[in-house]
Amino acid sequence: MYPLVTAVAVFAAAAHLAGAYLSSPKQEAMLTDALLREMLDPSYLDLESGGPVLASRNMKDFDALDYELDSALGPLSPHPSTRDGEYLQHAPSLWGHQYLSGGAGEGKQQLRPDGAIKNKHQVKTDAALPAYCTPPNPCPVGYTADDGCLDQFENTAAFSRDYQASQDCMCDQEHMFKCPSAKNGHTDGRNDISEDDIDRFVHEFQDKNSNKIVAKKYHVKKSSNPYLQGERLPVAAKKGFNVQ
Amino acid sequence: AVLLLAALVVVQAGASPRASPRRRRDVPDPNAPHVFTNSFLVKLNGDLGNDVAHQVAQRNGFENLGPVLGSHNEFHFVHPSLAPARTKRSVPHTRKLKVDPLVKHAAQQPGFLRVKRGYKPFKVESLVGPLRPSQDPTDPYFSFQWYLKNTGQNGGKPKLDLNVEAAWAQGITGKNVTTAIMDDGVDYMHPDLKFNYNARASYDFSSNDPFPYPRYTDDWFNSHGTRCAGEVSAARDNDVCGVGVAYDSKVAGIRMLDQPYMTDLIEANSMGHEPNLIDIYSASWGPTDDGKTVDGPRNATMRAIVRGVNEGRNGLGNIYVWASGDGGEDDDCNCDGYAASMWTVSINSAINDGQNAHYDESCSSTLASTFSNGAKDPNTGVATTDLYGKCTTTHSGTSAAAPEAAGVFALALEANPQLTWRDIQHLTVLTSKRNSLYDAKNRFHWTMNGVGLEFNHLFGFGVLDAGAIVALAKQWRTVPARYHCEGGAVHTSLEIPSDRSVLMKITTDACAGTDTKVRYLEHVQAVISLNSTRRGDVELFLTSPMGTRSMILSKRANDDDHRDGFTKWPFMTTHTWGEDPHGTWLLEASFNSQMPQHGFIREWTLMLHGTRDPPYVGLPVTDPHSKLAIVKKAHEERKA
Repeated sequence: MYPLVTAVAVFAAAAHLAGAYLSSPKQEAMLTDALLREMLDPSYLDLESGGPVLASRNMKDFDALDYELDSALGPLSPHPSTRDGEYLQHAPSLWGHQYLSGGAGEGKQQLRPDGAIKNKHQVKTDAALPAYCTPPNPCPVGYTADDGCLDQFENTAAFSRDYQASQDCMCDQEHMFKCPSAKNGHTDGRNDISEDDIDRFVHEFQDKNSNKIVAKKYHVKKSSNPYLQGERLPVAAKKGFNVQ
Repeated sequence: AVLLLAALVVVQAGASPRASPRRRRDVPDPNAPHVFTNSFLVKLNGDLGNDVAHQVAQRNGFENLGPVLGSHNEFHFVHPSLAPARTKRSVPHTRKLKVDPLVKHAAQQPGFLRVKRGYKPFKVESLVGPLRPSQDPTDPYFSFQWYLKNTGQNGGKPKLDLNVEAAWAQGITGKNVTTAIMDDGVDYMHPDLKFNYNARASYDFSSNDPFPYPRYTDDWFNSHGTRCAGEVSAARDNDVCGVGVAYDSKVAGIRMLDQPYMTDLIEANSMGHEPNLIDIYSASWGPTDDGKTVDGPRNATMRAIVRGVNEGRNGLGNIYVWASGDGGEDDDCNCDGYAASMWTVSINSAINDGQNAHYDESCSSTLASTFSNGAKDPNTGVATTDLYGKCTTTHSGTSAAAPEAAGVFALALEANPQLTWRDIQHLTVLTSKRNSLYDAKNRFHWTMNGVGLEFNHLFGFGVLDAGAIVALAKQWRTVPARYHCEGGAVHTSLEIPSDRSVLMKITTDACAGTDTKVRYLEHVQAVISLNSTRRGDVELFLTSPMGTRSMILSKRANDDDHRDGFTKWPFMTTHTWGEDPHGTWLLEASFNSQMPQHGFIREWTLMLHGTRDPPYVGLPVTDPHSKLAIVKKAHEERKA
């Protein structure tokens, strides 16, 4: 039924047979199913943590999976688990935005015994993660302002610069020559954004929510972008700007 | 490790005599008044079929090369004793054909203006007849676009290009195909792009709106997507910049790189955006190319890719084109789970004289190559559209190479809209050319695999040839069903010694006797778990039963990981394409290190992906020297 597999290990230099190992048929069957289910089963997209291979994944995901396979307790095992299943819904509720204040959430405080420096009040939230300014949205051919784009548009750098300058958004210190409030600007040209920048942005974002008035009439404020939620990934553009 | 490398060289040297000598055919001078070839277009009296055509050819002293464009009554004959190019019509030969009762019409073909190039060319002309002499586009930057038409400008090698004119001359320019540029936005108001822009298929995930116009920065950093878009579908003959590879195709913008950090949601939504409106997704991003990152698509993104491949394009599967990376020789794109995926076509780059670019990141999962910058002359970048209606001549990196491939695939999809994602990969393997690509450092040689396909660790199966892929796409028959077989596994930990290599074997029948039997390989994955005191010093080689040796992991000098190692990481190779997986596979692991290191391979699973039935049986062979002919013959001999 399953392919006959002979796994032989040989040491090259010694050039002799070190041993032969037959994988147990049960293990084999299990792995095969795990591997193929994602591809062949119509429910391939619904697997919780998926089959182990056929896809490169986050290393951390693998550790859990490894355990499942090794201990034959996984969802793909022919034997029922000896423990009750755990469900995400049973975890403490994390729905809705979280707000924190006080304690470490107060950010960087300079405190003196005599109270000469006032405490900075800071509330942290996961309501919106930082984003750069929003570029203009000119109307493509065949679109009009009714589609939510800009009818009056000039395809120049100056137009985009002015459009974005009217927004209250995080300054891109890596690619803007001058940032208005760049106290913690990078001097080493690194690409990442420091925690301070993010904190500052979140702070500004909240201010804007409460009382700022947007100056230019064509600037439509965006609600927060749902795609910016989740873990930050160490993914970079291969833009080829370093290969000149 | 040094000894190992030496052994590799010996193996390759031993294999190279099998390569037939470089064929160079003298080409008729296009300026000569009349040139006639030894090719004849023969129309039979009725749909008599190829077998009758063979008889007609034989009894008149001709050779039948097969039907023209799948026709049942038109065939391509050659006369072996005639010179391939002559200045006079061969009246007696034509007459001989014309008097044959089964022949309705016979015409000797006038000289080709286009030139066959490269190694074992797939003859475009033998499929579509002589090509019309085409006019160059009049766009002002066309002369800088050496990757489209290399005339030797800026020290390049003449005819080392994508051979797009041969595709255009067949009337194929990318009509009704949409390529999405997943990048930092597209200047869709650019006069060279605005009429080819597909607004319905576009989106801005960085700002969550339908208009992916790029964000301004003082350094114009966000010009990248616009530059990539122009390579694919900049308009022709409009006096603006240059011309795209598929200049009548549509381009969509997916703005998804321009936020302070990446999320799984952005990636997944980008790669799954409008999969029935978008045919091809072109990506020039991935894990950081620092030579020490091992990362790939996360859960949602992986689901999006699988869904795109299985269900996109109304079931034919989306084409994902991936830049292999700019990490140079210190990185290996098999550590980039996007480029190394079977579901992406990973593209590397060559420069204008055929060398690999110095920033090229190589790996065994690379399928083919296109062109980018890197020559000493700074004017040898990629000429294309730029932000705010401008033009540039300095687009660069493997990320400039990926959109060229996307453009070539757009041409193939116009030629045959029924091509699946796997058909595109098969066509790429069969029509890419060795041409004059070579490793500037003389490390990686061209080697022939077990069915006669030449591959190179740097360039995959060679540089894309638009004319050839279009010609073959027109007569393509969808490849048979694909199966996935776990060929075997070793679950025992084996030490990797410091001073020599450890070998592991899996002998497999490739799931014979089961319903997942694989006899003709497409992709092979070695799924490996290992730990070592220095991950970057581990090298891995996989050798197929037919003797093809793939370097599935090269030394990565900057990778000093000693903790994570690899956990069930799928190292992929395309080098064994078309081979028979049955037999003994060999995995070699060793350290390439000055310092003593140690480590363990904890697990190795061999995954075989391919077809049970021979993939090219329905395809007519019109050129006995084509890769198709060679692979097909190898497959037929195996059956016998």
